[in-house]
Amino acid sequence: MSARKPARRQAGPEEFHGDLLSTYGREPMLPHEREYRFWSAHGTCFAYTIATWCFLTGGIVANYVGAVEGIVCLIAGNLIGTMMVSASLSMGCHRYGLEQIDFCKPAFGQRGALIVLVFYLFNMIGWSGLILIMFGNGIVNIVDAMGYEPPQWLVGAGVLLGIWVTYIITTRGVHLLSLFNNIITPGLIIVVAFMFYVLVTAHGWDEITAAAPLDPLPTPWLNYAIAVELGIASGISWWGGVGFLARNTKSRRNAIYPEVIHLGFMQGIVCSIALVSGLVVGSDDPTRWMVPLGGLFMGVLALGFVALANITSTAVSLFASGLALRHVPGLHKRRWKQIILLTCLPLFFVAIWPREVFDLGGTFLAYNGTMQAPVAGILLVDYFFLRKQHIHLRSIFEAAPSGQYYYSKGFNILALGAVIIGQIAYFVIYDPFTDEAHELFRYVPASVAAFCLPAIVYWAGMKFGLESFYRRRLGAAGLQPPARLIEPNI
Amino acid sequence: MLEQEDVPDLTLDLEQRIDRMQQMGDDELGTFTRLDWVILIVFALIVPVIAIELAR
Repeated sequence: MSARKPARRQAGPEEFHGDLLSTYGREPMLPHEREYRFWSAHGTCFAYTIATWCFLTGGIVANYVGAVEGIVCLIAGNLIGTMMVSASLSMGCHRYGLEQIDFCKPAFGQRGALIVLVFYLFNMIGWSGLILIMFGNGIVNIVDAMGYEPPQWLVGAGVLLGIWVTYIITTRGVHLLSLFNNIITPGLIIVVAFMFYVLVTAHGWDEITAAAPLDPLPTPWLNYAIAVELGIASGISWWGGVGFLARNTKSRRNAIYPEVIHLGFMQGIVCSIALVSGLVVGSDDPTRWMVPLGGLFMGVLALGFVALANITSTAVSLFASGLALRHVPGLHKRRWKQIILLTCLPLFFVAIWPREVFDLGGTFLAYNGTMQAPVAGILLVDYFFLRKQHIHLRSIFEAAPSGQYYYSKGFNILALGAVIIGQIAYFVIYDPFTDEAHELFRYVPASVAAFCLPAIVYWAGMKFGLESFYRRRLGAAGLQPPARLIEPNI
Repeated sequence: MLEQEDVPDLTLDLEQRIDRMQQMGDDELGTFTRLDWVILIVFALIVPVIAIELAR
């Protein structure tokens, strides 16, 4: 390793250490350093989509509604949710080459963004754990399909194998990830089409549309409202990944169109396949029905591709988590392999208790809606309506109080308070843990309320007082945004 | 792999990047017009909301 270490050198005026440095760090990523062009952006987003979180979501929705209602809720909901989180993050992270938590600083403050970081890491590592369990389940079902008795420990061993492969991919950079996606994406398209074909030919469209929900609540409108909510929450769940993808794309259009098309629309379709399988086969886990329906060869092949897609998704999540960890004091200059190893540590617990963690999947999905919708709403109004898409980039990396985004000791209390208001609004309208709902839930999905209300509160507070207050206070203290960095936080 | 700790003056590198990014425009970053926003809003917000209401 040391033999390959580049010689130490000083950057000249137009010479950037870039190429690799910004890939593994928080520095603004310049266009020529970015990996994703048209096809690779679409391929990565598609492969990210096919991860088994789609199957989890579709399976949960099958409890509440039938096929037609469910398909509408999942496709439409995913599109709405993805658009809600992508609009600001994609445009902002792409425009300034920013890592996602850095993009939160204009709204939440230098230190306030670190609070968002905690939830962000919980989201990313939580999802990674869930899909690695599905990866382990896939291996178990392949072994089972081949006529062997899978041992109890195989799921945990599969999780460990997944962690190892993901670690290798993630520590070798976005290029390998992109290459990996270019190979498996065509296979995944075939697998998804094959899944749908198998389901329709085996059961027929009439049987599918006539299938009753698995475990509906007694109030009909509530079942539909929950299905809409889960669809939107599923789209909002992408909050953790869209900034990373956009930062690595070369053009603005490639930053957002692939996200909306794949993370929104295509995810809705894949979720719908899981919904249909849940309704007619009685299992939302594709690894359980692919072999019985598709036969040994096609079934195992399909399982293999889905398993690989899980690895891709985990790699994207861990890569983004690693970049976010660069915000933590003491980790700014750590080696990339050490950073990724840190993100992998919680996943080892998943290998020990896979079943217990997997059972928390539904609660985790609901948590994403409550936490991420308010943050996404605040970022949207902050970037488009308050800052008109102009960020003072130097202040993002300025830890000194003279930075524009220092606010009150590094925290923008208004933004953090608005997040809490959004979470309260969510639980008042719909409690995902008990399925109790306010009458408003019939008309307004809880995550939309949790998105809009904090956004309005934040916009009004900043527009009519707080922003000018912070500016006046900076001026009174004789502090001006510096022309050069005083205390770089990198 | 070039690591953070291998670069003697990260701040200088960062300053140069900030200056470059602040100056960039559509030539380097690609265009995104009002028509793009209209397409996205119709495709990802208006049509889905109508579909949800119709299926209710």
